[in-house]
Amino acid sequence: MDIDQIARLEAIDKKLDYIVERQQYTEDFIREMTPVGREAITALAARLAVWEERGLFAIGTELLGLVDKLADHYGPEDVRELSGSVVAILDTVRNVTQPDVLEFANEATDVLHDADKVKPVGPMGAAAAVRDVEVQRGLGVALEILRHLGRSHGNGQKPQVRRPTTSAGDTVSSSSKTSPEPTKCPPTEVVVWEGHRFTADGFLLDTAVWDDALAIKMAAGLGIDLTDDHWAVVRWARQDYLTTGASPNVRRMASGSGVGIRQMYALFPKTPGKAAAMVAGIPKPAGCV
Amino acid sequence: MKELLVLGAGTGGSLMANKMARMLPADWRVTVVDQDDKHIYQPGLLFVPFGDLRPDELVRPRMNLISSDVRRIIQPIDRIDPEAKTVALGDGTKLTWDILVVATGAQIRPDQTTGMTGQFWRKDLHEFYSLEGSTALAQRLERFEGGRLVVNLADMPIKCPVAPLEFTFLADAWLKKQGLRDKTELVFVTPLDGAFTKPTAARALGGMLENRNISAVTNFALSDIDADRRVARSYDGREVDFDLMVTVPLHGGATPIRASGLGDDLGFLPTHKHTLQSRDYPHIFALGDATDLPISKAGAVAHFQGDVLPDNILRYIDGRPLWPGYDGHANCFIETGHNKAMLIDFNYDTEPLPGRFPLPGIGPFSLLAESEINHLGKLAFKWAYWNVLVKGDELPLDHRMLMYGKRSG
Repeated sequence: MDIDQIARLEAIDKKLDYIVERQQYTEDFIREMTPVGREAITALAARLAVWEERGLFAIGTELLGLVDKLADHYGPEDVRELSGSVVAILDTVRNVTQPDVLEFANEATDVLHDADKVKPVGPMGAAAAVRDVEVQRGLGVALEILRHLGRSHGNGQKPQVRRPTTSAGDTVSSSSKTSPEPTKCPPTEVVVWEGHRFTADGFLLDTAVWDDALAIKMAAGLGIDLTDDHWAVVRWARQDYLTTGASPNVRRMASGSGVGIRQMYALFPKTPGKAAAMVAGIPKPAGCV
Repeated sequence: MKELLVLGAGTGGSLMANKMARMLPADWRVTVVDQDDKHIYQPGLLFVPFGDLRPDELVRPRMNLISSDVRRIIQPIDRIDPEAKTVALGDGTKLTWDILVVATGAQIRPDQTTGMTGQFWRKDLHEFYSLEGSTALAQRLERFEGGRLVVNLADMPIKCPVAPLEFTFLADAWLKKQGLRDKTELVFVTPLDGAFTKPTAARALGGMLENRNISAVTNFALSDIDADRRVARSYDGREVDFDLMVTVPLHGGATPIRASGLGDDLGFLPTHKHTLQSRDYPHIFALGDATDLPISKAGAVAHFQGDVLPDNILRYIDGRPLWPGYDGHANCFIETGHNKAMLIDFNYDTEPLPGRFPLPGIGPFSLLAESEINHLGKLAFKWAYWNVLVKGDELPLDHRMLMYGKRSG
């Protein structure tokens, strides 16, 4: 076999390796995903069964029927026109559904409901009724509406529609603000004490503003009078946080500062890791959730 | 020929070896060393005690997952000399290197807690962070007839910090299924000040223990296990008794890191937060559980770091400034039992927040909330782990933590 053939065989060998690897990849995929798929389908079926029980499918079918009817009576052009005026329609709906308007509409329907019981009123009766204050107020409103109608149709001007301040037009203009910075931190609950910002459970937020005086005040708040041993722990923990970026745990504070773990409990009773971190102005030792 | 030596062929080491073999110039060779040829899918260990996965389903030969372009050596690592740039192996051979990538992970050290490896060890006192441990616990649970079941973590940091909580939720679901829940008192014992320590998570999930009738003992820093009685003691003298205790022992860095004096007091390598370069030696880099970084020890972390570290090694070779590209991004699924799970996504500066991931409004995953899709995501991830992640191929996820889809509180 010459060199050329060997080189070709080697190239084929590499390709075979690749094919075998891809085949393993697919085989693995099928083997791993079959049980997952089964579980997914079961979970999906359970979810759909709940929807069916709530009648969502039946309603959906009726809605489809509704769309059918719409299609019979309107063409795509009508729908396009309609979608263009959706904002105006929604505004109208919102205006019409304001509580005072709804109340009026309800009262009006009540009157219509009892219309057959209302006696006919002649010119004399009308003249008498106008003396009633409520009728006078109603006439005023009716005349205002008439004037509005006349104005809009007399000189071709459209009526001015009163829009709530948060209508669609306004949101478009305000959406030009910049999109959220992807890695920005959301604000956490903050407590201000002695002119500095702390977390809700009492840990200093900006570790840079820490000084001996603040440490003494915080320790006093915990009922601790700081001795040399306390300071050794506090200064070591602080230094460790500044190098590693993480608050040390009790074990690490004890061995690092050289005071020993039993002594830690004597110095900072009950929760030495938390208390020492608090006095040192570094974050609470925490898990990930 | 220059040499890039990767120590450890777990999640971080394997993906780095595979990536660097493709990216390094032709005059570089990549070598990877590990003490054995058993790569364990660690997220699966959680399911072994409840019989949902068999131990043999979690193991694959390490070296098959690494490109044949990489020199692969199976030998225990004895000593690292950072000045002479050598690594001594168990069989006496000495490897020389120009750049070292430390991916030796973390290991459990039950012997570091007084009394832990005494008469109750692997009988009524268990761990599930190793194949032997989770297998032994599965056998113990088969014989479990109720009583006081205590779940504990000895001290932070641990691998997958939510695993003890997940184990508790899964145990609750499993006990219900076995008809043993009424006969079992389930207790969660933690050295932290609560099961949930971050404000938003605590607000969103605070009731999850109460709803399941699980009691919590907090600020319990484990000091020792009594030699004669089934009792765990804290440094401030409190006692928790148990019929069966499942603990997560103290963690430490790998033996060769400690033996070579390269680690901190627990044996984790001092590492720069954003560039992943060693804080002591510029020609040493690290990723995954082996570092001392203030972020969860988890495969996702090694994966996201693997999107930053190769670039920094190339920059180091070229003498260009390093890229501070790693933001502490981590995410993980939290199994909550009954075929549901939660998902959390966070980094150095941002606590886990509710929302949808990765697409705002769509998901399909829900952040900081239980859903079936999250659970299916966790199950489906196993395939991606073996075939995409450790191979050093790309997953369609940004290595940075993004605020898209997240709500603040």
